[in-house]
Amino acid sequence: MRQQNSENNLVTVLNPKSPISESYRSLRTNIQYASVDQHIKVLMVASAKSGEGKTTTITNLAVTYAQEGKKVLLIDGDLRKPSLHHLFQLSNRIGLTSVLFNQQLLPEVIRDTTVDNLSVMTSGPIPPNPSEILGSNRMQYLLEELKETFDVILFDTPPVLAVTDSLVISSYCDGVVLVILAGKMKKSLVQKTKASLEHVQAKILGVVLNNNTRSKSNGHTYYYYGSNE
Amino acid sequence: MELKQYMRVIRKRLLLISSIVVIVSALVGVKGFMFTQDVYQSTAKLIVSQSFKVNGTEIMDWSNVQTNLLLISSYKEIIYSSAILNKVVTEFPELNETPANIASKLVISSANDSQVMNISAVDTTYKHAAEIVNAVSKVFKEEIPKIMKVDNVTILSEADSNAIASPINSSPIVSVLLAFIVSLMLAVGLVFLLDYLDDTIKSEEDVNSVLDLPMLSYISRISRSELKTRKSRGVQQKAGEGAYAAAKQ
Repeated sequence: MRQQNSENNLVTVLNPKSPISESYRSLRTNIQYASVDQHIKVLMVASAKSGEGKTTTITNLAVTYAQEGKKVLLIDGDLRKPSLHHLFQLSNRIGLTSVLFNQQLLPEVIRDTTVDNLSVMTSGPIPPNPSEILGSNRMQYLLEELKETFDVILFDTPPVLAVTDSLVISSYCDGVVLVILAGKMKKSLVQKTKASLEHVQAKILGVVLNNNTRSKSNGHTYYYYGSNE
Repeated sequence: MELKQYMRVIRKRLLLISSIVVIVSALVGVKGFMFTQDVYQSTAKLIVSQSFKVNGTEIMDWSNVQTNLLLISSYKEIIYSSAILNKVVTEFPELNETPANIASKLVISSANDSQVMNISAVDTTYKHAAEIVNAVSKVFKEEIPKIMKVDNVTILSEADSNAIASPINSSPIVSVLLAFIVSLMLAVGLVFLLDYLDDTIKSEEDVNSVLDLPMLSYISRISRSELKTRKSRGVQQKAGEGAYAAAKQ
């Protein structure tokens, strides 16, 4: 089932030729080269606090992977304050938790989007014990099953310092991307976030600096060259 | 910190700097042009000099000069005393001043190792300032022989009440200019202080030094214009399609 009128603020969908879309493609490329020895199939974004741009980053990254021709699944791993269903204008009556509680079959909770090759799994009903559910054996089996179907699996997660859910999810991931809101996040908090992720042996691939003020000569202007505007 | 970094810090907080400068300059300007009265100063000069005669010739020796210099300090205090100021008020009722008012307007000074005393008065009109100075000088000259039992004060020059004088307080334009320069310096200083106290991650250098992790990407703030769908010759492109999507149709 295809959803219409969705992705209403995804720059990579609405304006794929913009410098910001190019930044997301650059992020995708850098992730691929960040771990040459190991193919990164399961990926998550992490941040110290909420509002740093995790959802925006992971969603636009998912679109760029899909535009590359990879079969992508975007999972809302934030079982406390889910947001992907709002972004893609989907119902959240069923989702990840529905499968983990054996209430729904896996194909029923994987929803297609207007972006080719991109599927979304919303969080589903919010459970009372998210950390335990995410750390269950059922979650591991589910991921193994999904790896067979999809080329790339991306997780949106809650803030690292707020709850342990992100740390639990990071143990399933081949790589973690740390998102930092430039000029807002204190160094001590970011260091604490990194330490928390390293404590659970998460593989941090690198950092995305969000909300970075762009200089006038940003090096992306060539991208518009010759386009009909 | 390099010059480029300094400029970046200033550019980043340019609004704060300009706000501080404009507000301070405006306040000083408003005060200067609307609430500040012109103040005038008038001065009379007195000399404290005493000599003694030897064979009909007036002689002044070094000890006399030293005595006179020491007396000046006492005279400064005597002028401010009620013995002088009460007399000024009673003898010159046209001044329409109280002893306390006169005392607050008087400034008495003397240069180092000089026997000349300057009695100045500050007032909103030059004429009134001159009248106060002349009244105090006259009363002081009259009263000092009675108080000190020595007649050694001479009025060198009285204040000219008809002279055309300029206000002694600085012009509002100068005040605004000074306020502009000082507030600009303080604002820039404040900006650098804020930058120094800013403990947030702002750049790739911060990421490298604090986290020792590679930078994967910089994502700028998404503007509204970038969320508008781009169209090529009026035909909407699909996500991921190239610039020639419309040409195929």
